[in-house]
Amino acid sequence: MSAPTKKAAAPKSPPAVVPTPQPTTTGTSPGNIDGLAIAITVFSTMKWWGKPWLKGIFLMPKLLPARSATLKELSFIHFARWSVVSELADPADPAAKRTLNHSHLYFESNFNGGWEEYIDAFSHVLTDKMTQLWGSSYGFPGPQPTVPFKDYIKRSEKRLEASHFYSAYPESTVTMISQSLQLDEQLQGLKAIAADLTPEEFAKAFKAAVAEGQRCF
Amino acid sequence: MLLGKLNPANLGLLGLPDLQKAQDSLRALRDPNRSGDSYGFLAITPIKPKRSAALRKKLERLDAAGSPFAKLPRTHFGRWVVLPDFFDDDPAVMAYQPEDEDRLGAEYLIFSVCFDGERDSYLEEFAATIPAQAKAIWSECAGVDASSATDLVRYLKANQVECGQYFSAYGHTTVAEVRRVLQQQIAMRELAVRQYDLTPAQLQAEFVSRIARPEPESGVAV
Repeated sequence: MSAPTKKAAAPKSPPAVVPTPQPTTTGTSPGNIDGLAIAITVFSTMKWWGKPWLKGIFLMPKLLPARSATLKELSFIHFARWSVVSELADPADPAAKRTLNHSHLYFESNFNGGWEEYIDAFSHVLTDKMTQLWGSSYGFPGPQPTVPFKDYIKRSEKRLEASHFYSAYPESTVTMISQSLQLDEQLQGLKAIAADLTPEEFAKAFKAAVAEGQRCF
Repeated sequence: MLLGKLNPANLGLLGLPDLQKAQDSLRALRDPNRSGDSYGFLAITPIKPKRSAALRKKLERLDAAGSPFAKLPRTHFGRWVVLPDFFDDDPAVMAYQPEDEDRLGAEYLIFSVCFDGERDSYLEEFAATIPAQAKAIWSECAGVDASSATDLVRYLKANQVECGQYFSAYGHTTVAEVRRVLQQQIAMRELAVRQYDLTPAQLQAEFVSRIARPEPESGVAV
């Protein structure tokens, strides 16, 4: 794992290329950190009706993608997943499955930023979605106020610190990746003709590309 | 630029149906472990009696030695977590957990990874590329001959837990592509800052060599 050390290049003369503020990883155990990336792993035990209920909830974004609140609204989640665990391999006979007394909701996220801010955003931006997902779990206090919700997540997470966590691009945030992809699209035209322009034509086109793309720097 | 906006992912911006989103939804309906072109794999396997502490130590030591996931270029994120039990004797949890809460009688290993492409080829690559680490880890689990790549892949697939909902912020972008655009962003930022120190011909030459036709990965940390 690597420490968050990267710094944005400082502009020295026009054009004003504004460096992105550097996020920090706070509020979680060391095993859950790789560079700027944080892992959350949580289990919660579900009431009897949770499994059929969540089948419907999980289906909604696939059937009505445009109408469903998505995690894209939170600009710091790389990957996240929810799964329902109702059976596991039997340790006495690992080829067989044992059915559990209760279904358990598994949640994991790979994100950047502070843990507290992450849960705050979940609770304030995706309030209804959080209730839909965790409402069938024992002890779920609701997404707001945030303090009991954070305590609830922490109680589960404290026993589930990652023994190893890896990010392929640990010093990059979701925003940096989104901006880089946007910049890539904006540069397609100039990249295609750059070698065919005169130097003066190129310098003019480059200046225009910088003006258009500087929000993506 | 118009060409950029004609990307299927951006059709919605032009008032057209977002075909990519519709395609992704159909794929997720067929396989809930998919988000765009990325796959979310999760397997939970029982740890042998009294081997949990040793396994944790092995996994924690991977940090110092460099992650084995780094040898698998399709991997975006990966983790190993030990699940001690569902029953929790913390009084705050006991206040709401059900009376017949599951007591597993064994600790379990959670293995979760987000990667590009198909499951089977990734797991086969995984077992073939890092056989020593894979053996060291899953030899602590019950029910598998971890020295056999075939047996390990079969075991992981047999213990897979399906995604209910899987989200990726950039599910159509491979690891290699993420690294390429991040390096391009760094190069473009540097060139934007230095543009007034260069002649137009120098600026053009640098842009062409570093951005329009860059060499494959230069090793810049991203």
